[in-house]
Amino acid sequence: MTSSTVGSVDADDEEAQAVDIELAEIFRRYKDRWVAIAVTKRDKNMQPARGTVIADDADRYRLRQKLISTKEACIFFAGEPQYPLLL
Amino acid sequence: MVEFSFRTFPEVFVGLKGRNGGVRECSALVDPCSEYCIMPKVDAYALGYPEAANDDPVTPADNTLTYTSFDGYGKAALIGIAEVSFGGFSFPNIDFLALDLPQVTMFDVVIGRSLLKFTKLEIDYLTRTLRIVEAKGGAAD
Repeated sequence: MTSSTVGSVDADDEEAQAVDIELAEIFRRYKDRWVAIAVTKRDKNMQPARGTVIADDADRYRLRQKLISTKEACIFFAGEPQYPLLL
Repeated sequence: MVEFSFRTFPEVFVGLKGRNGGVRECSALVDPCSEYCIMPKVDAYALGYPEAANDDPVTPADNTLTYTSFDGYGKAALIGIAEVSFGGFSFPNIDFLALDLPQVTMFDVVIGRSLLKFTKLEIDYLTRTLRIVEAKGGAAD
């Protein structure tokens, strides 16, 4: 296992990455990871509702490395900050 | 009027279209206290803004802007994103700072006043709803 896949989803889930799933399910499956998806369905406000996971990683910069050849991607963190957030 | 429900923080997915035609869609924090919108340098670079990657303190890019934050003074490249879209609205040529927020914050894009000045916005924490009442961008679908 390379450092870029530490904590990554296992092989079964990698197969599932090609599957079109609901956003809430993506949040559940990839909890506390940075995720890039190809959006397959949007709600009435044009927000992503379903998608296919392109890549995921614990580190957002490593995730971007995986997206170099990807022209369109939707990126988000599937979790909440560990501590109260101040910006 | 468009409504978005949110969990803890007012956030929406925004589409960022760069000068090279590339698109990145990110979950963005809506922050009326931020003077500018913010995006990661790596995405700015991917969308056709190589000047965002210039970290040279001796010969900074012409578009370098000095800003004030809770962390003191800082510098970042100011770029004009060709099109920002969310909720059926689209806004051309919006100023963004190419700046890497700490990733532990879980946000890497912030929608600040450089875009919000074109909207009438309501943040309802009681019902955890974000409403855009009016916008001087493209019409909502």
